[in-house]
Amino acid sequence: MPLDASYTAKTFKSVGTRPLRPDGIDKVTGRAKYGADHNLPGQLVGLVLRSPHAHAKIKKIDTSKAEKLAGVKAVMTAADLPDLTNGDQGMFDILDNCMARTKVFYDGHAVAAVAATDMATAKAALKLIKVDYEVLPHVTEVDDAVKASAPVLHANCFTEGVEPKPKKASNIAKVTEFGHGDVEAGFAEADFVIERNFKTEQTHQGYIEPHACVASVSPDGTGELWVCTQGHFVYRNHCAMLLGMDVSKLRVTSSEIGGGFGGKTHVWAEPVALALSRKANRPVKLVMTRDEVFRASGPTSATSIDVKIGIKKDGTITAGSAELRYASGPYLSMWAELGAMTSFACYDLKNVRTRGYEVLVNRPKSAAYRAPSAPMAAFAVESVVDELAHKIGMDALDVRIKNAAKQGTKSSYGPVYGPIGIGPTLEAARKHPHMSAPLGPNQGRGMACGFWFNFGGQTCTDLNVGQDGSVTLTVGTVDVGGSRASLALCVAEELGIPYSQVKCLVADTGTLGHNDMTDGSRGTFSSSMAGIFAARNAIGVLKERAARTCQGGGREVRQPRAALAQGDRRSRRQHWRTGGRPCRDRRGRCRRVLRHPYLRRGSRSGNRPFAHHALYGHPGRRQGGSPHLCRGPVSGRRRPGHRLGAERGICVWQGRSAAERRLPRLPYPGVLGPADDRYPDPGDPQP
Amino acid sequence: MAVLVSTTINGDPIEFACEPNETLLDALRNRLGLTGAKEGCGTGDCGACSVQVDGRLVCACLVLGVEAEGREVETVEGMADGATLHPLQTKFIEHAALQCGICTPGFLIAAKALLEKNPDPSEEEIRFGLAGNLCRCTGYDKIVRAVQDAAKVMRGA
Repeated sequence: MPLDASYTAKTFKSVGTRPLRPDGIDKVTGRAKYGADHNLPGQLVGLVLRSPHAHAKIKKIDTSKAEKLAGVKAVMTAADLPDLTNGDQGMFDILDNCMARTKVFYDGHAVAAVAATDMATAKAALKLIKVDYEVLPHVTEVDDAVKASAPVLHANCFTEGVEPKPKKASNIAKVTEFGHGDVEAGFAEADFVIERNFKTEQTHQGYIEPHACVASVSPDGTGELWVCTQGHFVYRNHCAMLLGMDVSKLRVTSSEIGGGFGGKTHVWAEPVALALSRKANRPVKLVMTRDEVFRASGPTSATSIDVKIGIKKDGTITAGSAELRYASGPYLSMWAELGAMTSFACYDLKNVRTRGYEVLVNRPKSAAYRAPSAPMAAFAVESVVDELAHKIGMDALDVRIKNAAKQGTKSSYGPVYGPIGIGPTLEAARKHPHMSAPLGPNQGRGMACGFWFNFGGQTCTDLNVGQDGSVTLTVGTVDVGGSRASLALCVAEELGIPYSQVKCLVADTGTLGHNDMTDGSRGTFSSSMAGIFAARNAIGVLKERAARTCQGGGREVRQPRAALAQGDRRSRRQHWRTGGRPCRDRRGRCRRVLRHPYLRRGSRSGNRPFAHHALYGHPGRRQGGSPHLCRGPVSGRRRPGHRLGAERGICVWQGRSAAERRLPRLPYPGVLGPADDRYPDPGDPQP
Repeated sequence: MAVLVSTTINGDPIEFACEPNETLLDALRNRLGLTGAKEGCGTGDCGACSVQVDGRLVCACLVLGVEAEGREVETVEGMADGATLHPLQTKFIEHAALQCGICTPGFLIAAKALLEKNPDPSEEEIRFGLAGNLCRCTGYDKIVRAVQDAAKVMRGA
């Protein structure tokens, strides 16, 4: 989509203001309902039995004793779920991760589950389930898993993306390659070439709220699911497909979410809770413990990355190449692919080649984690860029500016960039006071660039104008960071009404058309676009209705947006009651449009509601590079009793484009200034 | 065998029955419907379940329900005075000291316990006082600023 030039340098009335966040009051009073805060009458407690082995064949599961325990209403294993063995491999993998079918692939892999009347009974029932395992050798380290001698997780895993297709099964599930030019020629041209290997450990997203859901399935095949998730529509689709339900018959409601950071974009326990409920014909609440969260829900990939970069003495990067091995857990993913795409994407390179290896290991299935895969790739590439800058005696910031991607650059992953902000934000970083602030003892200053996409995806919103002129915006993207405020601001801006008159709600899956997840940095971006389109639709209908009741045929309707903004609630109601007021103001312009409830009542089209629907599907990806500048302790020594911020950088500055700054009054996770306001706020938070 | 517990919660006399091995957190959440205190870890590491028992800051996941017998328990649900929010609640909203909000009830109770003991804490003392609470979203600075500001309001400064 081309940039809308009319919005460049536009002055906003609502966007950029600092209203109090609308979910604040519920969150400070304990009223906000999270995953585990919901209950249904007659609900059972669900618990999952997990594998103590990292890799084992399941020979037999005996649930008979557990089933006979008083208070146990359902016991299930993979045998109670559809067998997707010969179906879609992706769906098979998701289901197999929720409940192991023939093998367990990691410590914590679910093998059985129970639903009982209380927690004590459920715990006792788990102990009565007997699982016979044949323990197999396991492999957990990414570099070990690619060796020929490594135990192979799946006998049917033949590396995708290489020609010819291998005949021998391995733990390399897929190889993806990106790039252009001739990297060898580029290295030959360089004055210095540095090659390094970097390893990063897997890290869990560490959201404070464990996964939790309440499932209720009726014998007629309809179901309801309350769940903490970053995308309840996607959860609905996955759960329905995995359980053989009709998508339309499963209604999923997203709770407030106690942090996700990408980790709540995959179904883990939800299909199990639904299956238990279906079997017991009772609602089932399933809440993971912290132990289960760490053992069985997805961390980011552990990686091993080889980077090679060549540079000329003048700072020109002549070539860059990277081999990126990302631990995927036991199933195929796209994490190495994303690492391969993003690793050199900040730079304008003539010769670049990246190859990503999705490596299967006996660890929990890797999950998205805040620009998944990009930080590890950036760590590797940026470390080498720093070292090269040092080698040629040039400022590391200048090296980056010299090689920064710009409009028209062919990106390392293929597309040619449109407008891209990495260069200007680097220039801004150079001029920023942080760059010249004197360093204290034991302090250093560092900077690095990172790259991420802005995934568009599918979005659907509804905008309803109430009888009093206030507006409800109903969205289907879960609010993980304050998006309800941002979206209300965008709609208020478009309609020309105060923010206080717009209420933004996150609706359940029965209310709206499909919405993709709040992930890929898309939530606020795409729902605000859909909200703005809905608002424009509303303005169009307002104009049309004004035209029908106005002698001038509506041509004089100049300020339709003001229709909703006029007066306080009382006066708006008054206008509604005294509908027969003069049609024109002193300048002869139609005033009726300013009284839209009256207009609605008087409209020949009848008493139609003002409901405006908008669908938005962004055709591609936007992209952005973002430099981070950090000043802080060189060695993060921990002082006793100082868990809060003991190891933080003193100043972290993040460069972002102005378009991303919708609501300054939000916390900036991990992006903190000093405890004063000398420096401008860094911008919008990420989920 | 469930035990009958007589206690005071947020100023109201309450009786509830719970198992002897049941945590105060489970009793509050599952038996009394007070879901403001959250279970983030169940091991006293995250502080999301912070409540006060006789004015003392505790992790409700590390206290048994039966230990509430004869004591006064305060939870986030009791912080506001009718329709008037506690200054800490107001300042947390004003300073955007919350994002996802799951840790917020625990931080508010911990901050309240701190300010009851020390009405004029330094930044260092606030960070020390809240060291038992984890927040994954904010990075803590805004929480510290909110507590500083609330303390100022409460001192009438």
